[in-house]
Amino acid sequence: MKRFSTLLLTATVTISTLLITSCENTHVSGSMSYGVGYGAGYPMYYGNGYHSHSSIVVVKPRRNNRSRPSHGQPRPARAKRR
Amino acid sequence: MKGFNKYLLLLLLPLFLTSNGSLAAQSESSAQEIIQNQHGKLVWADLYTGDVNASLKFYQKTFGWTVKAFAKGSTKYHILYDNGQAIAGVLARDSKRNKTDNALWVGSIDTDNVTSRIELSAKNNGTIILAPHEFKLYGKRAVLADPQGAIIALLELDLTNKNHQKMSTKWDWAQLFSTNTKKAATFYQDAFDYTIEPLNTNKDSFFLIQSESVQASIVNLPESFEQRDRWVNFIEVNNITAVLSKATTYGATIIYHAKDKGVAILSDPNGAFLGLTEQESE
Repeated sequence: MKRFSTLLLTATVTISTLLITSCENTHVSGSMSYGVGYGAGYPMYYGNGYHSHSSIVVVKPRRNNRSRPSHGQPRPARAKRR
Repeated sequence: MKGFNKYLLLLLLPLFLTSNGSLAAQSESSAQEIIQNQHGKLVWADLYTGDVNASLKFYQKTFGWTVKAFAKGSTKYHILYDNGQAIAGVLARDSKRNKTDNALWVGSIDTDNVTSRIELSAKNNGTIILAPHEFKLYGKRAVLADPQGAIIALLELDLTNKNHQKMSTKWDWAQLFSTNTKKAATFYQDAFDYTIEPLNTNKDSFFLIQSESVQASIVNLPESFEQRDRWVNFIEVNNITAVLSKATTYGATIIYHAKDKGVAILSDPNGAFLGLTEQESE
């Protein structure tokens, strides 16, 4: 009985392996793409609460570009006071 | 020989004392230099929230910050720590006091003299929300609303209080979204002593310059938002994408994310806006 079980198990593994590998495509063709899976086009990344505001502008110079050793810029026109 | 050693020590004692004294003076003057070099810069921020526990949980889980409570009862003040460095304060506020938000981040700008700046702000139509008061941990502080309603705090660091040296330097940037950028720029120029640098030919966006460095920006408030001026304070993180992922898991909303620029703005679960900037490689 034990011998039969071992034989059955071996046969199952062998047949399964043959079936699986026969479906494998070893020939690589076409283009490969790696989806990043996040960003504006992927709202699921942000969950239900993603509300992108494309009109937002953030102006932030890099840290090494913030130096203004001699700033003689003119003042903007003053807004009229009430 | 023993006697000789005694005399030698006595002779060296004044030398030791003077060198120690000069070292102390040197470190004090360098601290003063650092503080002077950051006038006009965002150095601290406090979160005013209608739900302290929920806010604390969100920032602890998202950023890995730790928390410590000071005082008790209604005056309880929490400090959030990033790797042992104090990074922000959290206070309870009655959300009914604010018409729209349950929570609000109020950034503190380092200044030379809180009292005189507040007086100038009032003269230039600013509204004083909290008059100059001793902020025991770091120095003197005041909170005001500019003429168009944006709330901002001023902080005058106390040189004799060494606690400010344990403050995190991760507050990186501040940007004002304004309904009238020119009017706002003029206010911050007159009251806070910034120099203005227009960013475009329309002259409707500005850099605010102080201590020989660009410290903040003013841009138009998009129409899709409630038309009320507001400052957004930006904190530096190692990996914006990872932080945003965690933030949304814990209930935040992403308002803006420019992956190419390494900048984002989120709205935390209580509605407070917080900006993120990605750490720049040297």
